[in-house]
Amino acid sequence: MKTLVIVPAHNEAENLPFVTEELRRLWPGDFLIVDDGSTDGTAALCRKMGWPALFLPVNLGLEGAFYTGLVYAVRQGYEAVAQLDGDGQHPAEYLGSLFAGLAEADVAIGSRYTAGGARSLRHFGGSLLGLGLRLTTGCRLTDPTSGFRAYGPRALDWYTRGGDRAPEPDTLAWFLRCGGRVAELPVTMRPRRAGRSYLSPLNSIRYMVNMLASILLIQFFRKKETL
Amino acid sequence: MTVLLRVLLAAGALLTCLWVAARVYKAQARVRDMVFWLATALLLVLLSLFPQVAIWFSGLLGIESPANFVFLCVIFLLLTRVFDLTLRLSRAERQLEVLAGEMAIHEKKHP
Repeated sequence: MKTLVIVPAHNEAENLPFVTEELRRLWPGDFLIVDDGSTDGTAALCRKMGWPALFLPVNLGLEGAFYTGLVYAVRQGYEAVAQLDGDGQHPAEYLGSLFAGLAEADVAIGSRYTAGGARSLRHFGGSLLGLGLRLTTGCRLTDPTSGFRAYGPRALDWYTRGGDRAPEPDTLAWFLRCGGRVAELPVTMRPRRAGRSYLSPLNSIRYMVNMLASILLIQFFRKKETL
Repeated sequence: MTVLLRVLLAAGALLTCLWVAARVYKAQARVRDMVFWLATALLLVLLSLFPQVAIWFSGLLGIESPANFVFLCVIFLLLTRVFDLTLRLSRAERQLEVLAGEMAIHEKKHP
């Protein structure tokens, strides 16, 4: 199966050298950086180093960057795609097992908590969303917010139809209702190396409320689409 | 408030809710916008079924007519929505400028 690793990056000039070095060392397949309109010289760095990259002229957010990467992958004939964040949180050594997970599923999620894992506020938030997913779809997920995922051919087709399909837990709820198969595989993650995450405490609460409302009020009632 | 008025208000709120739900089903707007409108429509239905809530709050705040309390809340809600829309429109306009510029430069480079 022809595979592509998509690295969405927004102002990650400090982290990308580490991420790309690890990818080249541990992953034999192709990767593609999607620069989401960064203002810290990420684009210039990619050009200078010759990394394969797409450059969005404006900042679209994770959803737009992810979508652009997927559309590129489909047009270039890739059959499976993994998302690996540009902040260095996702160790490339798990890419093999994520892609292998696609044998039995359309989306393979790298979960931090399959073996229990450290309890934290973030874990609690994930559990709450997991409960919402279980109530509306019957699928048990321990780490629905994980962005470390692989997408198989059916998921690629579905996610590139456009219109509100962010790589987030609420999209997963709709995908599951449409008949998609989702599996979880154990991974470990590192803290982000440099720079700051956009998830401040206030943003995290807003994110949680929006995700829960979306899972319970919107995605559960949305018209199903055939896969 | 006459019984007829209450029935009409409740029916109006319920129809609004159904209208929003139909748009949700067809996914005609982004999820984050739909969450707002669905929640607002549900709130209107609840308020028409239990007007005691509005009466209790207006009594608490010393507002003579509960209708004024409802107006106050709805106007505030709408103001925040309009402000949010203004912010998003400004952002969209800026992005459009950048995109149009990029396209013009791109066409010059690759005619």
